[in-house]
Amino acid sequence: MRESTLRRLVYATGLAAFALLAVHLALVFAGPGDLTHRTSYAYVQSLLNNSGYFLLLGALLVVSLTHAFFGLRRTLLDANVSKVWFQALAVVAAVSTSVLLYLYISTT
Amino acid sequence: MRTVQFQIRRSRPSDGGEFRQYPLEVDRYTTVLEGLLTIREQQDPGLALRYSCRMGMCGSCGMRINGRPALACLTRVSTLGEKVVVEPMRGFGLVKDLVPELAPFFAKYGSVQPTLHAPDPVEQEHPTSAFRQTPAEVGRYLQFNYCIQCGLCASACPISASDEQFIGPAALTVAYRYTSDSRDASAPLRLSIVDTKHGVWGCRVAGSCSYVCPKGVDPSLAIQKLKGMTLRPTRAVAEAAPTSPRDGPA
Repeated sequence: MRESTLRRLVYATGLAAFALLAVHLALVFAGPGDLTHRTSYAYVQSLLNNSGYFLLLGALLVVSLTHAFFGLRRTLLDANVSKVWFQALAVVAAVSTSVLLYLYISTT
Repeated sequence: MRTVQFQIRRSRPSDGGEFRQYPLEVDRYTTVLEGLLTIREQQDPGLALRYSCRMGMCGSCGMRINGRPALACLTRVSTLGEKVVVEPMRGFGLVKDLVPELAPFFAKYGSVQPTLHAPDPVEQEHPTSAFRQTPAEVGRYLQFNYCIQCGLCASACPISASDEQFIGPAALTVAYRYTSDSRDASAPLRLSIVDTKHGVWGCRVAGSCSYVCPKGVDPSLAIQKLKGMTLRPTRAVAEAAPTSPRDGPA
């Protein structure tokens, strides 16, 4: 894959994470009651019953992890490490994203 | 006239090198290159340095002067204080004393296809008419055309120092210069060459290349423009296309 394609993914996931986070925070801060109420377990659970919000948080998790792992890749590039490190990072990224997504879906 | 101390690094690739002191009388107009040539003539005939035009056109006399990459012929001793420390450029191998090994630098320079590739190869070899450019078309690449390949930008670049495979600011600048030329038709090829982690995406925009360039070229700007071109290659090709038709046959 060309480096510019990877860079487009970095930009796209960064912008998507920013937008999704903005929507998430807007929903948290624009809800009824005070902040303690809006961040309480019961209120968050009720929000997650909304499939749109559920998908939004799932998407935020995926794009944030993708963006973060691209950042780690860049750090490895700067460190001039061998190819094995990049292969290991790809495996860690795929596994950790899958596990976290599974945990998110199975516990909500 | 006043006397200044030249501290010159004398070394070969095989040893660590050492600084040697040379007192020298200079006037307000004496350049570092003139000082070095006088030292070689009067004090140390073994001193090795590379130079040619003595007027900032050939780019041969690049070296580190008081810690900063500069052309010796354009640097007046009167601007440097009582002590003048002269070392070979960093980021290159060494031939001897102040002469850097520039072969890898020129190999990278050549790797980006730094020539015009006309759409029609026959027309390129046997032109039938002039290929006129508008002032706007020339303006896209003119400042980048002033590069004299002295290597000061590569010597100042922190990425070139830490990543041997990084193509380097001079090569990327010339890649932009030809890619943005309306007479050139090989933008996709050239963009594919620089669109790598050791190409334009290796640059972290330190800007030191632009700071030290003796000809006022802005390699950092060229690299950022190249980044934009790799992200929008179709638009880049369209923008570099000629806006005026060629002249008719002569």
